[in-house]
Amino acid sequence: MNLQINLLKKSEQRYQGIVSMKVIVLGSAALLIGILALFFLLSGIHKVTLMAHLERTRREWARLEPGSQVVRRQSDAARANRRAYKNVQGWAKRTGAPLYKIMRELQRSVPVQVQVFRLEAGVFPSLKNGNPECSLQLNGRAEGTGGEMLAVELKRNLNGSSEVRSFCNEVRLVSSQRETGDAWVFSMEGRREIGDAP
Amino acid sequence: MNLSLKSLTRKSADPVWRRPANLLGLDFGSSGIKAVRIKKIKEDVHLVAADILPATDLHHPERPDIPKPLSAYYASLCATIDDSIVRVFNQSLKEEDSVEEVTRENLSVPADHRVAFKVLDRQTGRRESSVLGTAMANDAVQHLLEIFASGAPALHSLEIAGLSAFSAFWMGGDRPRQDETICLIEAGARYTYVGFFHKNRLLLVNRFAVGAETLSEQVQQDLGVDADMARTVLSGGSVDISGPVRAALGPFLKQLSIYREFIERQHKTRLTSVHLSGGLASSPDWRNALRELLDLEPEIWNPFDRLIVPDELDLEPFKGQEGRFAAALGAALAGMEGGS
Repeated sequence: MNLQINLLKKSEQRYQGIVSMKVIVLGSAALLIGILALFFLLSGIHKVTLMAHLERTRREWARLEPGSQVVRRQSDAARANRRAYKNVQGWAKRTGAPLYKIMRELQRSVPVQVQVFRLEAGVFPSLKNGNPECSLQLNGRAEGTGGEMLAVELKRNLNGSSEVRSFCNEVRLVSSQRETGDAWVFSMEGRREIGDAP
Repeated sequence: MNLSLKSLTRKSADPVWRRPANLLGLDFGSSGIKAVRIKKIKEDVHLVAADILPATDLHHPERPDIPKPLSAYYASLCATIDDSIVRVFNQSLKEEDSVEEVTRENLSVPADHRVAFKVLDRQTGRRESSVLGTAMANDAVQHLLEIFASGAPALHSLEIAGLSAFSAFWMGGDRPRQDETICLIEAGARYTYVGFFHKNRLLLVNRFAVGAETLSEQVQQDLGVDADMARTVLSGGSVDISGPVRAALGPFLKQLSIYREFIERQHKTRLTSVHLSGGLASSPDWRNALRELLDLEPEIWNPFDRLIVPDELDLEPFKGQEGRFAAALGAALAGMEGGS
């Protein structure tokens, strides 16, 4: 049987321990504030580090930017070249013979005494009906003994090339006349309507 | 939600929230401050230390210097304050009644007294409930609060010393049989508390302004000796002082006889035993006077029998005075268990 009748009110009882309640509460609050302060301190350090890194990167960019512009320009040029190459490839495919092969055959066919001063090769609208046609036209000069025969030799060489023939059928000598002494000027051409069988 | 420091501190003082397992019991009596420190280990209560500290003025008690073995964070106090009141009354209680107000009316205490109560037997309707009420001057409570306002120990509870001693009797130890009617008498230096119990329920309690000091004064007056000699005569039993004892205890014994008769008639029972505690319990003259009046052999009960006392604890200086610690121990035990 417990006959205790406590004359103390609850509000009059106080906490007592190794550490007082006041110290516990204030200590907890101080700890919380400390943790927050540490958090903000670390955040600040992190921000300062990031800003320094950004500044360093900007300086580095300022140093590298001219070079990068050059690279970018060259890259653009390379892209244009690739595009042109692709166009040429496509064109060569459509016309039946790659143009570089025509040029190579022409280089082989021109005798040493002959100078080609005009060359036009490509796909052009036909003068007759406007259909596209492969056309090879060239003008040149031949010097030396038997100059008038040099143009014929050139024509024979070109027509002997299957690449040239597949491009523009037969090359014809359009004109040949003496210029001065042993010098002759001449012009030749070959045409083939696209769609015609070579 | 209020999270202020004050509210947290108040919450920490909630006895439900905090029930100390290590508690100091202090009994502020006029012969000295009886102190016991107990510790609960699992379900057992161990006595850690016991001592009697120097007496202090009970009107304005000072904070005692508590020796290291008695140090605890909390203390349960009981005190013998001059104008404190303790009484059991019966009254029908309605649901809407403020028991505190009812207690204040029944105890007839002025407004400057603090009142507390414990409903011993709650009845409904018109049947009367039994209420144990106590009152103590607010100034005395405030003074005790002030002297323990900071540091350890903090006050855990404050109660009337006599009731604390009765609590100690009932807590632990062998309980009397259920159908017994017993009388507990806690006799101190200036006041004696008497409680009658029937079927393990408190029926009547009262405080009498008689104690060791009363007997000593009577012996001094009748034999013409000083206070020290009177104390020696009272404790020795070799000098016949039955005359002075009868003269000093006359009104008290008469009242005790009336109480006994009242209880026996009211409850149709017979008083089966009387148990003594307090400083006066060791006086042979006191025991003889009670034996003659009640026709029963008063039994002195040892409060330390309620506890586990370690072998290394030296209680030899208090041999024969164990009853003086009843109130301090009762306050500590009740504080540990949690009372009203």
